[in-house]
Amino acid sequence: MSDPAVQPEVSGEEGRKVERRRLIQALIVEDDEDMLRLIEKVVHLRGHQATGCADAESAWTAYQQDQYSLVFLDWQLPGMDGLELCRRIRSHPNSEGTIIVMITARDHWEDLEAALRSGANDYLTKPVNLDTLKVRLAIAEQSVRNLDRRREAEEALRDQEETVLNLKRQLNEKSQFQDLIGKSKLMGDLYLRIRELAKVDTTVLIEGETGTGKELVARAVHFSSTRKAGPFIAINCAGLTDALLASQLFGHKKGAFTGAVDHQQGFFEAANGGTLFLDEIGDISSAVQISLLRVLQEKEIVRLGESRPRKVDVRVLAATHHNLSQDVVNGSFRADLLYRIRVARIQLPSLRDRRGDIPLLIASFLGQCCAVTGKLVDRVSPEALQALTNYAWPGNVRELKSAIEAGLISCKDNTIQIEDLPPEVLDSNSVPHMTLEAPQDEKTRLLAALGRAKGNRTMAARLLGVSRATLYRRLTDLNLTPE
Amino acid sequence: MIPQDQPGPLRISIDPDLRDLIPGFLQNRRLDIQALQEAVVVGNFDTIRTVGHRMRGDGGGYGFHMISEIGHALETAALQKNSQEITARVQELTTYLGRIEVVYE
Repeated sequence: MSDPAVQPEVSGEEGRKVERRRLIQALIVEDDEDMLRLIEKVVHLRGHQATGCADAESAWTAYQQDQYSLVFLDWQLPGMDGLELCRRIRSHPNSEGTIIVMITARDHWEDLEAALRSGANDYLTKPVNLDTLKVRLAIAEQSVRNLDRRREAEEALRDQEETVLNLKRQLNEKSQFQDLIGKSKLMGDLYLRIRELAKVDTTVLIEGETGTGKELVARAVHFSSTRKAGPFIAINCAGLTDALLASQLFGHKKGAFTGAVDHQQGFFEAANGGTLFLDEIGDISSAVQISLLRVLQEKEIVRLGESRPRKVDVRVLAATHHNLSQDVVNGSFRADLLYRIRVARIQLPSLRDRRGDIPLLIASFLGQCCAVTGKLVDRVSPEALQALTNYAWPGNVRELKSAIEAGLISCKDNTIQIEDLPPEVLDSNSVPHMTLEAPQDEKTRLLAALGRAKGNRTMAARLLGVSRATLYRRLTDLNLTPE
Repeated sequence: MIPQDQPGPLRISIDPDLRDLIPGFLQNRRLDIQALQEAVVVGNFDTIRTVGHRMRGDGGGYGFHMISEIGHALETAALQKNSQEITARVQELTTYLGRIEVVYE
């Protein structure tokens, strides 16, 4: 193998041109020393580097060690011939970036075909003219550059696809986090808070009005945390008797109480290694509060009827719509328990504080409801959307979801119209916009309401905030009785 | 064929880029003459064909088209086992190498 470290012979203008060109590593496989030197010379003259091999075996070894972008390959070689080496090179996973020029004295078209079939890109017949060799090298350079460009373009495309994917993910994360939906600043802040609290293992108190999605937030914290492979168990503490709640939380021994027919583990044990979400924690009795405090302090539970403590590794997330500080003042909630569960807090925004998220929520609920009911409803009329946006939503997202479900059931085609919405949503919307207090405009207002309600008099009455009887009477008085 | 009617050196124009390769190339042809003479004596036509084949491939690339021509003739003569023709061609190569004057231009 000849010395590959031979410096290219370039100077002056030619040298400057080379600086702009890509340096090519060429492998020359030729058993004729004079031909090898000649090709090597031409390669050096073009400012590239060359490695010479006198046989196919050493060339194959060299190719596997260094990725050559250009190979001049003599067909007739001692041992393995050039055609076989060509096939081997093409079997290499990185050979896509290699241009192979076959050199041979064979000049039949069958030979050319065989060379191309074995993976050669070009074919030179001996005797090789020096000028021809220079031109063919220039062509090979162009091919190498084209391959480089293609590779760069493919890499750039891959980068762009990745960027688009990341942007999509970011966009999606901005408008959705786990099962939470919303792209308002309040929701963005909430997502950040959830991510922060997912990184630590503290107890978290989730506060917010009813229907704001406290359990969804608890799930999001759990499934973003290192405990996500463990169980997530949610329990609503409201409405359960002391004994039942205690039994459910801590478990019981067989015979601990009437009806305890078997040993039973509680939710704390079931949630071991995961997260236990205690909803409506403000509703638990002082007896259960004491037991709960013990679990949080000692990280162990005692089943009802037993005295042996059992270690548990559970993260507790709690939620309430109560003002627990006020409950502490009132004496209905233990201050020490409050401090234990309120190590970190998440305050959920009400829906009326993030009305901008309503269209996004509607779209999501429509998708969910259509999947369940099989109805194809994918639109909400502008009037209906206006009404949905204006409503105060005391029941928050849960109430919005119910309204969409109701609208979907009532609607006749693929669009929820204003008349499809529940009455409470319409009632709250009607008064500020349509009243009968301005008699000089009454005729216009009545007609406008009928127009918006598409002739539906019940709906028009709702829009106007009057009874159906009043509407009929006024229509008759103003000679507007529709046919 | 080497022009017989022009006495004196044969001027051969060679690409200046090849200046440093030419002495080695011509020296290898002189070694070829020796190898060919030995081969023809023992009737080693394979060697003659190989040497002729190489000369045919290399000569033109370096600018010595006559060497390619002689190489082709040697290759053909070796296949035909024509010792007389081979001897004549080796003589022709010897004469050629003795008369050439390389000019880099």
